[in-house]
Amino acid sequence: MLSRVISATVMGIDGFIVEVEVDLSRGIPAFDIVGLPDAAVRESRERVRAAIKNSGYDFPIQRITINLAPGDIKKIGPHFDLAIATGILDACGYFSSDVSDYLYAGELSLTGDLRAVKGILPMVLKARDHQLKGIIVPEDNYSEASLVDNIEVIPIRKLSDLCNFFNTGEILSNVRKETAATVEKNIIYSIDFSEVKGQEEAKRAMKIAAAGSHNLIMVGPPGSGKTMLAKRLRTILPPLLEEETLELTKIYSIMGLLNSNRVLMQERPFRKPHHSISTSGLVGGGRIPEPGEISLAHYGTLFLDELPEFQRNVLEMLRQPMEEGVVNIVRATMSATFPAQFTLIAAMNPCPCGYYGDDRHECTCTGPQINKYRAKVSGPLMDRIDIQIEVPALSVEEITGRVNKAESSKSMRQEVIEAHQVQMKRYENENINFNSQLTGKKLQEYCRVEDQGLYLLKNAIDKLGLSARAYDRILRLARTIADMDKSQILCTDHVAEAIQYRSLDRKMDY
Amino acid sequence: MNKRELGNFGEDKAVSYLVKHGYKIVNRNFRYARGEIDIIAYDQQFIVFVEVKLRRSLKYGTPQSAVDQRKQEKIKRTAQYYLLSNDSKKKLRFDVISIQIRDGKGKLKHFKNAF
Repeated sequence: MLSRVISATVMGIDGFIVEVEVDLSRGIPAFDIVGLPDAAVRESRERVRAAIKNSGYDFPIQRITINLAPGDIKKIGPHFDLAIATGILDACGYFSSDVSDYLYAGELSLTGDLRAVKGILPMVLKARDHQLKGIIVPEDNYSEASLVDNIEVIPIRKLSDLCNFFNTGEILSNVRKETAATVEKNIIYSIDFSEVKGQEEAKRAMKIAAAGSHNLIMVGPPGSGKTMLAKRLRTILPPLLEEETLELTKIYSIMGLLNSNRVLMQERPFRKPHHSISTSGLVGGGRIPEPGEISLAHYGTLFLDELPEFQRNVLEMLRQPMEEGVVNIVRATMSATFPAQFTLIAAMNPCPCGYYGDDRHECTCTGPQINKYRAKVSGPLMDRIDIQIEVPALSVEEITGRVNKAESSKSMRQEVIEAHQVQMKRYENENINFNSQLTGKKLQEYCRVEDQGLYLLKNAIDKLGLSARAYDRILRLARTIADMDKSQILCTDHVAEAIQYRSLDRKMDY
Repeated sequence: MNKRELGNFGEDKAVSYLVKHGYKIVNRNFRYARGEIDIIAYDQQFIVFVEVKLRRSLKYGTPQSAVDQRKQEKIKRTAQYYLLSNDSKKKLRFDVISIQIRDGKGKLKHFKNAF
């Protein structure tokens, strides 16, 4: 009495087909699971046994061997419960139709009810690619699973629903199908850029950062509005593209961060980890690799407030992913690649007391103190930040002035979207969406600089001692500035503004 | 009553209970070098290995809880040994019958498929 059903496990952000073979034979009654199960899978024995019994079926008094194939891949998570239970019931002859055309994923409770599991989206996608007839999921995972077209999704509430489905073809659950189209598209924010007093230059920099997905750092005394500005960046980001949506949702699916309120990621994420974060929390990791904050900020913004307070080794981890847009996590048992195309927004004070360079406060720090503080943010990291701006303390007039004169998020966003559309059109046949992703040949091709601008650029490299990478980054930034100006060629003005945004490199060593 | 008598008393009670419920007794006190099985019986498609446990008081826990992991392993090993010489086409089952003695009367409980 042998049965074979299909389930899946998640590796990186993709599903991976796992065959669950169930064999019932004579011999001393036993229930064994082989095929590299981890703790949660091994525990599923007890859940499956109780769930089958409490759903009104007889648990076979035989030697039960479960094999999870392929045998060289670690099987993780409680979602194998459903496949194992289905296999056992099938081997006992409870089903009158074929159960091997479906993919099963779900955690069982002792009562036989099904619980929602993580990573349903990548599994559904895999099931479709594998040309399976459908996928059987817990009712609570239904809306997430039904984001995928061209595959049948069967929601079940409890184990006995499954028998009903295979014996009568009847689906007992009545959850509503929620597709991407029916989900609310308009996002309303409770915050707006018009609430930020003054700081016009910083807002300009924010627009450029949003338009071209450029990294940005703000340096300024406490209370000047750095955090306020950063939080409002999400209100002006260009909308998430169709093809980006599913990939981003996959990451949130495997982390179990989707729920009935958020089935599909519809806006660019904004992640704001506290500075106590560990390396594996930031870039991802663990014995079985899981994505970290930089992957959760994929296609969106990673905001690091109080940058020098982060552990230095944690910050240095950002260097490679910032260049490549992906992070490779390699551990003894397995390795995984997670996408991490994020815009870094950082904020810091100029010195430990916070008032270095401020007109109205005396800085109380000593030179070595300031040096030590700034050295926490390494040169290579700064080199990767295109826009480096000072956010000075506000003047008395600005503090007491009326707020509503300031530009609103709505008009800023309009500008950003227009500049983004210029880029999208230009990169139609390339696999990039933002100027900040331009490299090598493409950079040469799309960033033609006016003669005078070229002269300025040469001068800047010489005088500021800029690296080759900084040169590339200035070109990309100038490209975005020109796009906002609706200019084909990079004019002197555009280049000049881009260079000016790198001035902090130099100013920091006083 | 000494230990042996007490044990036999319990097993007799268990046998008469099983017979009453339609079991066919195949063997009693099957032993080999490393273990013993109190009762071996047929119950329809099953061959059942029964361990009988008897207690005069609950001071040291219930009778059934005395059949611990080690005891279970021992019974399973003995059952395998039995099957070597008495091959059976039936499915295997391990039962525990617990008897608790109170006021000279035994209270019997039958745990089917106990382990």
